[in-house]
Amino acid sequence: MIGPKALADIGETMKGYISLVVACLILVIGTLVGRFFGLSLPTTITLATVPAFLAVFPFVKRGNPKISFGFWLLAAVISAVAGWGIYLGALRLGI
Amino acid sequence: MLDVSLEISFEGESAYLECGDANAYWNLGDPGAGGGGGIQPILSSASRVATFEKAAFTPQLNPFALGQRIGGANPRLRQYVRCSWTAGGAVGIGCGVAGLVTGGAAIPDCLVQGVAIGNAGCGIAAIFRLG
Repeated sequence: MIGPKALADIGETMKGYISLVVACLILVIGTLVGRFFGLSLPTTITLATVPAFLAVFPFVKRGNPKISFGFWLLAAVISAVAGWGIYLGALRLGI
Repeated sequence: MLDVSLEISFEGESAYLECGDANAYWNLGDPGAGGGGGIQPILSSASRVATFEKAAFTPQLNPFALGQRIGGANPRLRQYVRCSWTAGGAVGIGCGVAGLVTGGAAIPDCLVQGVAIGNAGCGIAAIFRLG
């Protein structure tokens, strides 16, 4: 029989995965919002992936407590800017 | 030698095909009225009568266009490949620069999560056929 302590442990374990589920929901909702408003593909991808990347931070933090939110935020911002740079560069080069 | 230069122009409800000699034209007719079957030269007095022969055109593949090379004729796959390599490169730059700025201890976690989320986003966008 599962006791209250085991249930509490399961709940604690499940909490770690909630951020993953939230990130997936953000991806789908962001994509649908981009499609609803007729945004371009790179705009939609940025709109969906950057918040999802930030939402997954608690899950990563559980595995690696040394990670700071500042690093995570900086990585998200630089990735978004770099992604747009690569996209526009590739567009200009016809790739 | 076969001259494959070809130009189609439209005027009103008529279409004109110019092939080879600039002075040789054929009237394509009006497809909506059941025409277009018989190609009649309408101006050829000052020119040789050029004949249209079968010509094939092959797109030139750009060696750096991974979407073209991997995705082939499937537009969703092409879009996904182009999007995912862009996202992967961006995450690599973002995590690398942020890691260098803040000490670099969490770069692997950042790369794994970033590439996974980028690919998931590109996959969802390809499924919903954006762009």
